[in-house]
Amino acid sequence: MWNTLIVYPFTNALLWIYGIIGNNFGLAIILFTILIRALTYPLTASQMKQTAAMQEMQKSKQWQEMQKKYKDDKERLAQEQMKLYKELGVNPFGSCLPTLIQFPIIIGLYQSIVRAMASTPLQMLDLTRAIYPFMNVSDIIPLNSKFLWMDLGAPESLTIFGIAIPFLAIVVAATTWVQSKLTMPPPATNNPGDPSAQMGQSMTLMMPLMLGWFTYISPAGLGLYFLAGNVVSVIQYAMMGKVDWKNLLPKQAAQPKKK
Amino acid sequence: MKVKPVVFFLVLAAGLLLGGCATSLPTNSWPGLTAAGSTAYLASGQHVYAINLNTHAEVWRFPEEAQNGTLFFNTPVLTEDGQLIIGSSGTDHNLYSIDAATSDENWVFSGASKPWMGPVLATPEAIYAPNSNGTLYALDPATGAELWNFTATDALWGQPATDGERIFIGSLDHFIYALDVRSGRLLWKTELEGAIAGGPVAGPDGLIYVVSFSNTVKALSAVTGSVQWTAETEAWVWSSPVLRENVLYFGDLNGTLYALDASDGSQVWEPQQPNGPVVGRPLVTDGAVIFAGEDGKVVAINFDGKSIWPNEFDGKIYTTPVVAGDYILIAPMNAEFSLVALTSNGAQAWTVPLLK
Repeated sequence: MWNTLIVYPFTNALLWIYGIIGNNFGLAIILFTILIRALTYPLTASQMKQTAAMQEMQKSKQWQEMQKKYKDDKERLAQEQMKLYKELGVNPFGSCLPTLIQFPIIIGLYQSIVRAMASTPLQMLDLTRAIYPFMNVSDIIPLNSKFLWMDLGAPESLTIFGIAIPFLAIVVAATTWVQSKLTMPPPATNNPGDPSAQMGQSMTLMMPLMLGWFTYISPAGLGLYFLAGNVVSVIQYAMMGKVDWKNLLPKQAAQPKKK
Repeated sequence: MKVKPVVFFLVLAAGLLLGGCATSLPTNSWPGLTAAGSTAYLASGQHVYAINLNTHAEVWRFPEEAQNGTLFFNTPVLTEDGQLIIGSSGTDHNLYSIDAATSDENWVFSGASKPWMGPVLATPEAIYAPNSNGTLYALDPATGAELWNFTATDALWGQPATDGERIFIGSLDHFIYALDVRSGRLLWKTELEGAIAGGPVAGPDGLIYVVSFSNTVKALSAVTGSVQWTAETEAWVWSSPVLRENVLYFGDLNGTLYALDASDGSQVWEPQQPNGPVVGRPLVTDGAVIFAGEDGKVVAINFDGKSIWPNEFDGKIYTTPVVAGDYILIAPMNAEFSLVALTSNGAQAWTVPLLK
């Protein structure tokens, strides 16, 4: 089921793109990323809508009063907040769901890249099973795994002065952090108990570390997907006017002036 | 800072799925099997095992203790002077010569940069060893010293073949290469329409036979490399053909079995499809050709194309069956047995439990 729904379509899409762009697997991964982002655009739009709704709610008088009234009773505060979420139809996790939905895509892509690269006999057998009958790929198998300085089928490192540096992993971690900061709206409240703010902070720290680590241990093709995804995401948000460049600055400088 | 359980578990799950896949040394091919006299040699996982065919017991294993980075998943090859040659499919990239009687290490060749996926060709003059870095190494059989090497543009997974004057090797780069047997000098190369994963076969009539991932089998002139005939198949072909009395026997990745006239590629009998994908070379016995497939089926077909017997076993069979005395040995993968011995009528005679 997993293979049929995720891995096989991904693998064939990668092979198809690879074939039509002149046998460049790196470019195929980048174009595939753009395709995935386009397909998941409704989720992204929904995320923004939820975020905006959440912020509106958090600015409301009702919310502010609730914070003051139950500031010493966290449990009650949480209950009241949940009530308000329900009343206004706001999903407190709505802004995170699109990110979480990326996980099966990432895992499916990882498996597809490894399968498409087919660097071992068993992987080649797996690949032959994944190829749709109407795909004529005899002339492109095995794929050319070289892209820039990288072997996309193996973990990447760049040797500078005799030292192997995981350059791609560092770039992926850095761009993930930048992307998170740019696209994450500032919390509407400073309430440390606010679940969405809490989750946002967690993700901003954890995602760069996690994706950097995955890139370090996985075939470079996956890191390229992460990198392309980060860049595409920032461009997508920028085109919709949702990028907040001030978030890259230190926190105090980014805070609004007091009236 | 608190982390929501849902995020934590998703991160953990993704980490295990991705990290686990990338850091362990995974099975990357299937067992290799050969037999001589009363001993079978099985390359499976972190060891090569010698198994006594009379007692069905393990005689030795090499190495005695599993080593990090060492994996054995291709066919061990016996030389005339009793060496067992096998390369590691793991990350150590070593090619070993083992004393087949004692498991003592004769020599190790460490000059390759990638795993060994294909069996060597052993002649009294040299060991011809294909590596997945695309290089064919010719080594001194006595010492393992490198005599010459030739590098193709992609991995070499199939066993080389020779007609005595030339070495033929197919590559995943779609080319079949002919090299001078003494110097390794390139004599000719011919591009096929697909990757070549199975080894070529050199015929006695100046032709070599090559299978590829292009739904074809081709006969090429051993002297010039020009294509003499092409026969279509239903699917990609990985299984190296076996040549017997001017007939080529092989299976494809759809599980279709073929018998072609080696002179012109015409069908000797109608293609048959009793199996899952066939990867291993068929086995020719006195009265039949034995094919083994991924779905665990083993079938014997006589030389007229009539099925003599089928049998089905637990696990997937990619390994070429071998004859050992009165038995046919198969080495299934993902099965409860490491080795299964069949009688000449296909009945299961005895088994060797999973070796660990």
